[in-house]
Amino acid sequence: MLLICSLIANVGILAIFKYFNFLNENITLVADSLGWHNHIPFLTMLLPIGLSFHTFQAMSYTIEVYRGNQKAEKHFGIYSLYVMFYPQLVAGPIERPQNILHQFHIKHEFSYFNLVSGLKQMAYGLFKKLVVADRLSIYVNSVYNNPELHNGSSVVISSIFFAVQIYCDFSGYSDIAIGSARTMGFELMTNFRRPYFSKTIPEFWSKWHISLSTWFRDYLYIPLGGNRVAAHRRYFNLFIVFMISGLWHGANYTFILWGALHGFYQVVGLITKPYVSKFETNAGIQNNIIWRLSRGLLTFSLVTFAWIFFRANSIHDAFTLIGNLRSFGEAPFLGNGINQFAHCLLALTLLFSIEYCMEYYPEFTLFNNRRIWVRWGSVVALLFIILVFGVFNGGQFIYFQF
Amino acid sequence: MRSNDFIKFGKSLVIFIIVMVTVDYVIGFSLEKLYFSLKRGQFAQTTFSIDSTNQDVIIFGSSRALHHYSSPIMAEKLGTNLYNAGRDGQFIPYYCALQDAILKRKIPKLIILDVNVWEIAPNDEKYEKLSMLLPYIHNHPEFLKYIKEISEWEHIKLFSKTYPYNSTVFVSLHDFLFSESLPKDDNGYFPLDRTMSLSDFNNYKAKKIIYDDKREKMKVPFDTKAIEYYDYFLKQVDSLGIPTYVVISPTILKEPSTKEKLLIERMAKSHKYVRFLDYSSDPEYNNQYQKFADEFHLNTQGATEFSYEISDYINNDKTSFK
Repeated sequence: MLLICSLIANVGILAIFKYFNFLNENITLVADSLGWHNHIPFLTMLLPIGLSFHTFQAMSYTIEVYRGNQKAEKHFGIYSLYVMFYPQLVAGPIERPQNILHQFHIKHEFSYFNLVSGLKQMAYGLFKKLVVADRLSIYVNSVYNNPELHNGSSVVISSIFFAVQIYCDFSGYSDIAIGSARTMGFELMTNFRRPYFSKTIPEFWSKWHISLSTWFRDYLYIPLGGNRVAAHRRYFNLFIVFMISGLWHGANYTFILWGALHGFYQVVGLITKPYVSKFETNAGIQNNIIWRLSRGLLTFSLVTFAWIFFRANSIHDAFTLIGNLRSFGEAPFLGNGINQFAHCLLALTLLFSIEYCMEYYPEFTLFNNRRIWVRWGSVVALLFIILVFGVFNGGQFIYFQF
Repeated sequence: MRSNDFIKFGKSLVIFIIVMVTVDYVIGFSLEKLYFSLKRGQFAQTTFSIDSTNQDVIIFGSSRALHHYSSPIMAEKLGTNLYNAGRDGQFIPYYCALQDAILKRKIPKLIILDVNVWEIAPNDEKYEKLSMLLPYIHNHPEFLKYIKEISEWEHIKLFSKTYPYNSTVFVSLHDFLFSESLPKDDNGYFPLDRTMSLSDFNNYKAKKIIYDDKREKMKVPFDTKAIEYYDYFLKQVDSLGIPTYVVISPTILKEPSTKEKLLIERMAKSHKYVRFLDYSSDPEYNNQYQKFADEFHLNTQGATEFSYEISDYINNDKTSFK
């Protein structure tokens, strides 16, 4: 009973702040179409910063205590710190009590290693945000804010750019959050593991926004029956979980459609999985580099296509952009903005090189190299790359709005 | 352990700061030398506009000014020397900064300010373009108020010698290495030789109808800051008695009488030494895609015609300022 009350209170706060006006807007639309008048007033409250994140974190505490996986916290101050721990307050990672709560009870000594390692991770997060995400956003915004003025070439380029932008924006914030917590001796969970190197959509979701996807897995998908139900029920559950995940991002049909599209990908992936595996075995191409590359490219393309709905300002804009894919030509502003594109290409090349090494050659490390001049040189170089090539326009992190 | 870590961190921090300041100075100094050694290209032109223009007639504006006013034609027709200080992607605060820099050394005899309606509509990104002024801040402290429009922390970032050259490296290197192959401006004027195709024009026309309709429905507010700068520009020329023409130069499609256009006109007309000219409804240019290089800019043919036309107008109108 207490669990239900707690969940209702948490979801209720989220619903009022985030979804009330969306629901009211839809009621108004339906009422107008029926010739009625909707008298329910719209709310004009500011959305508390990071509401979706700390509400989910609070809910995970309640559920884990209820399940007996976590002892109830008796100290209100420590519980508050768990919900509002500032490095991850506004955009996660959405922590679990088992991972973080006990750390608040331990005395944290000053540690040179933690401080330096945390600062390095923050610097890499800043690189992702200022050099890559904010640079790519210039072109992305020019296309997505004026979809009717652009052709297929600019839609393709800007959508690929947005795929990288949102990764760098969000994982960059996570790096800063994890790094700043580490400077104080706290270890937060990993939130991203280079998701664009994934070969399948499920693999992508095991590497993208891990704290949220595991939250939905543990607290929604598994309680709905998880993998232990009939196939059709499992497909339905997956679809619903991804739709709700879309809705979590914001009260807009664009997010719902984005979630639904990923749900659809998951279901199709599950249905076709036995056939694909059989084909791979028969053809003996499981480890064939071209096959693996093709699967990676297909996954990236599907994810990028779904991002169109996520980034578009409205469903109408999303379909306008997709419609524009029929006409290809010179991308508007591409010719005039060679300087921008040189910066974008540099940013993408640097990012890809670093992430590729991290993914496939984890033993090769610059920032933690045994040689001091490599270690120092790479950090200084990173900071000057930020200073010389970064975009310092104070652009907000995309996930702050959620 | 704890005190050892503190000492280790303290030492590393001191060394790190020394390394950062040294590298910052070396990179900043190199980029400064590169930037101010450029002879052609937009950076070189900006440097000339800010530090060296002393012509009697100065044209201010964005890329539409840069490509629409032929300096040689207008200089000949007006019988004076003239410089086109139009700059790609810029808007009113940049013209004000440029005006401040020019007025420090010379009072022009005539000013043409080319504006367009988008300049006083809000756009979060347009103030960032004022970063073009950053390399000049040490010689032009009057630019600080414009630079603070980029962000309130901008003056702090300027402690770095490298920061003013942020995002300039590729253009600087390109303009330095390929200087000879860059088109040479004619007293600031850059003609556009290409011509828009009929299909591009029709595409644009279709999209513009949707775009205008969307804007109308959105009820976009004014950018009050840009309006304040526009007012500052007009008051400055008026107080110095400089005859000034505020011009909306030709557009490929007739621009509707938006509230932005009406405000630009009303403010210009409220000053004694300022005249307002609107060519955005001129049938000589509207729908004449052969006179345009793209949807926003006249090509050489269009700019030539327009330069003759506006020069004739100014010659006939000169006495109205007396």
